[in-house]
Amino acid sequence: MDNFIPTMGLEVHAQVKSKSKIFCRCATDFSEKPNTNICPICMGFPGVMPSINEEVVKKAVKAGMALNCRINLRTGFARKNYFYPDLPKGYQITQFKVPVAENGFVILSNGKKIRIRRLHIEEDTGKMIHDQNEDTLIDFNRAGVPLIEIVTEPDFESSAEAVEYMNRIREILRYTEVSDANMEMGELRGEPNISVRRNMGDMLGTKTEIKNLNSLKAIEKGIDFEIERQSRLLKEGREVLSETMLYNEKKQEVIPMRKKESASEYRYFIEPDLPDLIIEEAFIESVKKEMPELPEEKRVRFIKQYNVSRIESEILSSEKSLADFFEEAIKNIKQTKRCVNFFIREIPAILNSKSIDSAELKFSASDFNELLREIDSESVNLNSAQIVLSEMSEGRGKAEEIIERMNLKQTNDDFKAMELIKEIIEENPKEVERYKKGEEKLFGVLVGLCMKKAKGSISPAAINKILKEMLK
Amino acid sequence: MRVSDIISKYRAKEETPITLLDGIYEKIEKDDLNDYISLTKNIAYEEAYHSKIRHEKGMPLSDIDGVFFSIKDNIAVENIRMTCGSKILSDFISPYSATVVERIRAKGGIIVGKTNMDEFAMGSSNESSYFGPVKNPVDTSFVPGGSSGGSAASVAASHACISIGSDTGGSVRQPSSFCGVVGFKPTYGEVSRYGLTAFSSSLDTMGIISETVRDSKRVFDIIRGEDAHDSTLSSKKAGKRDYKRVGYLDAIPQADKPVEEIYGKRIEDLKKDFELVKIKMDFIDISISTYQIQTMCETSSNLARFDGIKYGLQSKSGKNLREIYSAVRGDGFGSEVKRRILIGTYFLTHNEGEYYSLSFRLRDYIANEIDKIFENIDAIVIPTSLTLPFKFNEKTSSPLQMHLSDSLTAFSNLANVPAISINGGYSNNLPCGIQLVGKRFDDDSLLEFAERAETIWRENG
Repeated sequence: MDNFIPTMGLEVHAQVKSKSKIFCRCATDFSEKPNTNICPICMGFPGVMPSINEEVVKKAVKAGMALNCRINLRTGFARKNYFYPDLPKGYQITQFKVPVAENGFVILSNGKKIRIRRLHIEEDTGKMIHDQNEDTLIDFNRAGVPLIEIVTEPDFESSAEAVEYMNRIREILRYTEVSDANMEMGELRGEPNISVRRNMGDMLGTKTEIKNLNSLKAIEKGIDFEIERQSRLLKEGREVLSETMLYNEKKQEVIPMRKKESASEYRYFIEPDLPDLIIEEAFIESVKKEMPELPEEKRVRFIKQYNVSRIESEILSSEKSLADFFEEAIKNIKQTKRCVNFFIREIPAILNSKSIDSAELKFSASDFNELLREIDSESVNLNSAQIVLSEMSEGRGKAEEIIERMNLKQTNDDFKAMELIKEIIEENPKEVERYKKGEEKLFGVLVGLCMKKAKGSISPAAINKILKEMLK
Repeated sequence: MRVSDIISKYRAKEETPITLLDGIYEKIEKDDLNDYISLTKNIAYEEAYHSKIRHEKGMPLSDIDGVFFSIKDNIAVENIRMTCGSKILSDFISPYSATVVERIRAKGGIIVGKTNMDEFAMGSSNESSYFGPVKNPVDTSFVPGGSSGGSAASVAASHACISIGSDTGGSVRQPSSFCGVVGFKPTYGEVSRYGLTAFSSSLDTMGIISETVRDSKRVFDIIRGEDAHDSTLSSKKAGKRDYKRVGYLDAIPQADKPVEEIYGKRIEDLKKDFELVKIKMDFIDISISTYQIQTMCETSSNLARFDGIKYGLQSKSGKNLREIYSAVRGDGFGSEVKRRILIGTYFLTHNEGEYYSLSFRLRDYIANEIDKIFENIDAIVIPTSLTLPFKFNEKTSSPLQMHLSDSLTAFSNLANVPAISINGGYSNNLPCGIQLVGKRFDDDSLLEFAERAETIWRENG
């Protein structure tokens, strides 16, 4: 393939976390039995009128601020008109000319600034379900669920950048509690628009949009397939049409779905049933007060405060709940480095293996703090601490009890052994090196050297245990 | 049928809500005006029964307890069919009630039935109803006006005391003029629209039709005011004041001769008590085009929900979505409704909706012009309609001619000002309404002025 240059923008839809829908009081839980969370308003019955759920406005403003946007103090709603069975009113209430927030940005790890053009509020549609008998059923539970749409400028040059951006957005929406942003649940959806051109100086090519990307993997692949498809077309001297493409996960391809609509086909006009949305300065101030420390701020602070690396700080801050758990657990610890390392090595592994988040652990942050204190005061060594932790994560007691029960406390012998082994290790660097490279028999040699030096003052068991740990 | 007459009959124990209701239903059947699409006998008798007991105990809920209401069939009453005068909703039962309906029922009002209307309130003669035309009770060979033709006829024929209609460009006032009753369109933002099937959301208002101004006022005080379901309501209030200076036109070129005569006489009548000021209203011509663009654009969107998917007329025969939509909407809507949807869709599509944007600028212009007029005067007095009631089929072949019926009424919707039509007299036994227009949110003072004018005109015969 010739090296065509891709240019991409992303439209992200996120479901706003809210008990009730955007224009009525129905519950937003669309996993319930079909067509149970509906009312005349979200079903668009004749005569109904929308009234805005302020919680949604608040969250949209919060998201806008977290994404460095300017908040528009006077904004409003518009109708996007089109016919589709899952759209009860024959139009979607959204924002058109003046969105609630605009001109923001997100910075990627390569230092690149992705500009956010606008962030607006809108309502979701219902869901069409095709059953085995070729009937199409419609579930309106999702109709009227609040969404925010975040639109970037065409600033992406690779699928990797798009994926990282999605991760950043997800993190920010979760931190600010604007959205749960689970992609598998459809709470966060990304729709890239893509064009390619031959040279940097050329005009941007015709763009297409890809839909049905339900995971980060899908976003990555969908974009790569589409870049390849467009490049192939241009290379063959054919034309890229302005189309909406559909990603097919099973077939691993993108196929054209329909011609892309232009704005005038949607006959946008001001929603006459809703007054302008006036956002007061005081409202913005109150949102500011609720604004948590954002992921990037937290990472910078962690690097400074806990002396961790960039990557470590990313692991620790990937979820706000995990970061909070971490900070609670690390309280009043002197040997931070040792304990942070233990935390990073153990906790994410447990969460991953059980696919749970930190709130679902069988022990609390302060329980874990108790264990770290034992490590900190060196009453247990790291091997033992690992055993204690695995007991804790099965809900079999607290650190102190487990240490007691399993007799894992370091004895006087252990400390003496440590001192002595340190010397042996320093004195025999070659042997240590060879052991670490895999010559296991050298372990016996090192044990022998220790025994000789201890002259019977330390138990062989202690020497064995401590040496093994120190050689890790 | 006046509210005070009914109440005094209850007090004197001459009648009960049940006996009066019997009489009303008998008369509806006997008169055969086709003013009702649905009669709500079940709920009416139940409400009448409770009202009767309250009156017997001497504990009525309000001064409309036991008073009979008809409701235009584009306003929702829970569990009652709401057709909007259209085939597409001919079997639609509303699952909820409009705010105005709830307020009326909470005060003891009894709902007699749902009244006939032009399809989706588009029309000025009630001839576009899928349920057939309504006969004018004044003379049954004439139309009752529209779109709230059934509502005005029901009040004029004593088939109800009060009717709740809707007024987007004159739909309450013009039929009131044609049937010789009072029709009041409040300021947009005074009465909740929740439950009123939208025709043109930025212009639609609930309206009241009654025999007297006092009765309109009574009901207005019950239905007006804040409603969590309608965010376009306004809490603005103008202080009450006495009207002194009244503006009038010294010539209305397009008006029929009898209309001009009656108008001239009524202006003369007012001269004793008010200072009459000649005014100009040059924006009337553009108000018609502005009105057409606005209503057609908004209606093309408001009526999109009638697609045969969720409720109303359905089609089982379509092979695909497009065929289903075409079958349902092609069969379900009448020609006037289709015409307006198509034109509105064109207006919104063409050049990114520039006509619609333009219509808002014209609306601002008209509102400004009216504000300027009101700097000098307290109220405008003009005829409600350019014509007296006309005969069936006289104008149906010319939509443009029919659209001109809104000439003297649409501007008050465009400028969001209150207006009330009162019968000004008769020519050849046909009634002619005179319209009083007030300042925005000046509804209370306007109604007071209307009561005075009503008295003066009655005294002068």
